[in-house]
Amino acid sequence: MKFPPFLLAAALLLWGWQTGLLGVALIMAVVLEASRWIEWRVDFGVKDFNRIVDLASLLAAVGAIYCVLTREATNQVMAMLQATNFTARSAAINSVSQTTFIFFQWFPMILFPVIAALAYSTSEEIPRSCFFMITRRRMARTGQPQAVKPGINLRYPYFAVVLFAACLANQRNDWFYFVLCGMIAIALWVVRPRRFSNLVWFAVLFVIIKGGFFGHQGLNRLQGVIENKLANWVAKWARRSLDRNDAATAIGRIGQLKLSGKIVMQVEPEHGPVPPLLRDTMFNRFDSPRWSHSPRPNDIKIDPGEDGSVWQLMARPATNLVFLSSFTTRGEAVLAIPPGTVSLSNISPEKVTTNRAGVVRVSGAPDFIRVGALHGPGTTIGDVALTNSDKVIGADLAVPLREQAVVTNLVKELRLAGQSGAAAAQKLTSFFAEHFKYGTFLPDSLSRVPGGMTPMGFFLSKNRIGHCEYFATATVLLMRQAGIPARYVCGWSVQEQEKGSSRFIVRERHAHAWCVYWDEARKTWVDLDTTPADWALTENQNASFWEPLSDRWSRAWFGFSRWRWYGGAEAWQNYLLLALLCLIALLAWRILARQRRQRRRDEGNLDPAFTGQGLDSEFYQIESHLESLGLGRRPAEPFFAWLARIQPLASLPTAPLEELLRLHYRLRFDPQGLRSDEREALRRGVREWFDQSRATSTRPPFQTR
Amino acid sequence: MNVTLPATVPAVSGEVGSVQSTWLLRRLYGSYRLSSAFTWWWRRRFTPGGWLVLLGIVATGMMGVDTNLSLAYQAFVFLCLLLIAALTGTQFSRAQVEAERTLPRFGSVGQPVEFRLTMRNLTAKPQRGLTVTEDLADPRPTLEQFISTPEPGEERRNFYDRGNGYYRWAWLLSQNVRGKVNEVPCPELPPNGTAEVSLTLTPMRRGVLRFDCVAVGCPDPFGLFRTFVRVPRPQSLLVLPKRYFLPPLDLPGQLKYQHGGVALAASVGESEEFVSLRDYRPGDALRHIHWPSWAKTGKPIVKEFQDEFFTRHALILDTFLPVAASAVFEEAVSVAASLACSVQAQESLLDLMFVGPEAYCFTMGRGVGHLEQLLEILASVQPCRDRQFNSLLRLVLRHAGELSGCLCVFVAWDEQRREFVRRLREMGVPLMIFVVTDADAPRLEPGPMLAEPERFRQLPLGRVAEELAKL
Repeated sequence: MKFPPFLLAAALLLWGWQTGLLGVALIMAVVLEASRWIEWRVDFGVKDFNRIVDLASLLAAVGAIYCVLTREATNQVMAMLQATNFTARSAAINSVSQTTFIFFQWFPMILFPVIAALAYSTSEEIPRSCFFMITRRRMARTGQPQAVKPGINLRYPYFAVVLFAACLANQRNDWFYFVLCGMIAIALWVVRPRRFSNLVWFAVLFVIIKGGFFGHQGLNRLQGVIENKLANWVAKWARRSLDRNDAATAIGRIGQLKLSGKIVMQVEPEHGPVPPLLRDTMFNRFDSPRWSHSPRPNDIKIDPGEDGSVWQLMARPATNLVFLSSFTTRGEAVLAIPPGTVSLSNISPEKVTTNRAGVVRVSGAPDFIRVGALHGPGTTIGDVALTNSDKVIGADLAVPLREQAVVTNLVKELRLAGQSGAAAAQKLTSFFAEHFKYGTFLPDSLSRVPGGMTPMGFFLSKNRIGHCEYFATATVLLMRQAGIPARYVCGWSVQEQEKGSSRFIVRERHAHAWCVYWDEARKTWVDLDTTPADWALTENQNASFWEPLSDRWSRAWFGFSRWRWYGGAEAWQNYLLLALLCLIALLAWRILARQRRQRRRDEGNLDPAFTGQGLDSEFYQIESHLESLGLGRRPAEPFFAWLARIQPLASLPTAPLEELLRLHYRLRFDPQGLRSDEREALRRGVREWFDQSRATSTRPPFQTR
Repeated sequence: MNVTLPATVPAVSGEVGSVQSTWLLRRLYGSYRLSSAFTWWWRRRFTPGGWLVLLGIVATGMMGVDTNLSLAYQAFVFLCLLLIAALTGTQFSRAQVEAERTLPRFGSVGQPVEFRLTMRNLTAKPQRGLTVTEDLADPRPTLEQFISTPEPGEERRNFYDRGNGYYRWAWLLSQNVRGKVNEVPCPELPPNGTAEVSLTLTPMRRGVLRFDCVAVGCPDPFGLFRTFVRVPRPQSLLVLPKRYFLPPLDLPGQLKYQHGGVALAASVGESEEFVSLRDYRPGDALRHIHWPSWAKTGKPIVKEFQDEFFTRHALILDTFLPVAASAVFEEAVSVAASLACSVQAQESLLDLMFVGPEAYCFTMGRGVGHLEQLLEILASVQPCRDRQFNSLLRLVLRHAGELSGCLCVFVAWDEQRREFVRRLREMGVPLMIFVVTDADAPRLEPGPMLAEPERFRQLPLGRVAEELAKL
């Protein structure tokens, strides 16, 4: 099947234009199309094609690895598999798609060695067996020769791959669709059957192109409509997002996280003790059952230090250093930091921001971060000292009206009013420890609340069983009702040491909530965790039986990610590319060297008639002389037949020529060659013939009729 | 002698497996049949270009699910419309043609056979862009065949594979495909005119190859998809076994007295070549008395028959196999056919003996039978699974006294075959033994042929031609 000239080059240029690899595309197009004019060809054998196909497979594998290493493919896949809600999964799928698109966009380059080899090969097809490595190996094992037939002409498939790769680039413009259709139409035109008239062919194609134009526009719009509908539906019916959200939370959100034993963080203390709690964010406004910020805090950008890797949060000294390893979502994350963190190191995100709620957010970070947090006793970022105006506004003292009745009763009962923060904290800790029990999260806990009661009211007055969110919220409300400013903090509890390691691991079920209250005496915010101490034990009982297995996987994944982002993987990428280039060079050298060896062997096996033996025969001078006189030998005409043909035209006797020709034949084709006296006789005879010829130079040696 | 044997792998009842596995196979049969038909349809209807478009639709469909992430959806819509147009276009492409096929009488396994088709345009419009091929008989196994015919080595497959019978189905399907016919473009058919097309059939298995219809491919405007117009032309062709080159054979044995001469030698029963009448001599058989002449002359007159001495060889084909078909058996038949072809039949007789549904003996040579007939028989011979090996021994022993020598082609070299050889050797019948084995079979001990190892040949699969050439 003949392939239309320049169509492949046009497709490559379209691909290059779309993907931004125009230079590469241009080189590839020139290399492929130049084969129309360059006559140099390599006689690739089946084994050579095997090697080239293997090289393309290797390129694909390397491309995939490179994609994984340079993009965030692995973590995207992990995020997709581990996503706990629709939005997160959708975002992860998009990320995976984009990475996949990038990989497929490289396919014209990956397959280029194969198509280039085909372009400069003496063969028009590549044996199909070359593409089946396992079959090849099996045949080699059993000593069967590899099948040369059937073969595949890869030009059309490659053309399809190039167009497909061009489609994935997502450079939107009005002409792309028509160029794409045009190229496919040219390819179809060449192979069209002659059963229908050209007019019908063009008319049908025109309708298809036009229909396709409106069709794809409609499809795009349809997706928009479906997405909107779906979003509404999801918002209405799907369970609430489980993402850690720094803007708001609600009772039950952490509880849902507690259902999972997935490892989300590794904590490695470098100096000093391991921090028992890691803060994510703080909330000050409670609208049962929802916590939020009020007013919404503005983000403040933090500038890095001089070396660009240290981000100073607080201007005071600290000595404890802990490394916190976790994954980001598309480069963004809310950092969980130990209370009293003064600086962050070992990360290089594009931006670090913080706010009054104590949220430290990084963006433009790698998929995996290993933050060094320097911390010590004292305030944490966000623990802004309360001013009098804050107290007047009373955001940290507000108790929702619906909760006030229960809370007021308890405050009276516990005689908290007028107590200092520390004293109230002590009373509350013992109160909760004595009268309350820790209970694991029940997804339908909110719906079990009797009518007319709030969840907190039910917890404090009736049920008295709950998980950390209830304890934290209740503590905050009680403190506030007692006149002590308090806030609600979300974060993580660090309590499980990894087996055989000094590291600690934080699981999703270690998600925790507690209270911070304003200590007027020390003028600082103090953590107060009133959740019964056995909560971790209770939660651990819910661990799934396959947790050890998933832990091993998580451990390996953390290890790989650490190597990937902090263990010199970038240098490894360079080595990979270098190795690949060496491999390509080696392959090219092997093929060309084999060709050279083959050529030499062929030359060695050539019949002496085609080698140099006897090519210095003087008889050739006679032949060329006669040719110059217009009596040349016809192609493939034997010498004797030639002499017989021109004899009637000759004015010179041909007898000496026949004798000389016999000697010439022996010189050329007799493996023994001529003896020295015979060789000399040939030389002398030719000389004498020319002398005779010159002697009769007044007339031509042969007369033409 | 006319031997009619099944054309495809025979079904053998009473085989295989538990009731449960048979129950499952019965239920799966329909789906296998359907999926095979579906695969056939796809492969046949889509041209290479069509496949590329189809793959393009799948690829762009997968990548273009989110129309905001790439432009693949644009190509997807275009390719879908292209395919729809192609599918619709074939409905306007159907041709009205007539076809006549001229088939040769025989073909041989592996040897391409060219035959001609005369295509006639039944319309007043010229017909262009058509392709022609053949629809051979449906190779899908019947339910009975599927249930009762296990694949060779099926017992070595795991429980799951044995249970679902997929490999059995695939094997039977491949066994039932008896030949392949290429597809060629049909020259332009003038209005109401004719054109000749030459097709090539490559027979893959011996036996009767049935042609059902001439299939005329009618493509769509883009050459992606085609519909087929079937012109029913049932015909059949006998595919002879594959034959190997053999150097001139130095057959064992010597001239033997053949009672009744050639005519009797060639016959089964009591027909004899009558020469003359003569007076009765004591010792003449009573059944040779010519009663009308006795009545006429009043003295006993007997018929005289011509007896001759010439060489007569037996070609014994071992058909006793535990499976319905195997490569070893096919090679054994090929070896037998090759031996039959190489025997100089002008001066000697050759008896082909084997056991099928019954014991067969077919004589060829000295103008009695023809090689062609013998090959026809070999083309249809099938493994015998319902009789004992002794039946072959009985058949051979019946003729042993007249045989100059025996060429035995065995499919195994077990004790009963060795005993068979031992018995014949004890009777003084010179033998030449060929044992076809699997490619990786260990080297066989000649056993009773130890005294004449040069007359014992092991023919491993894949090296049969090589070993025969060494003879």
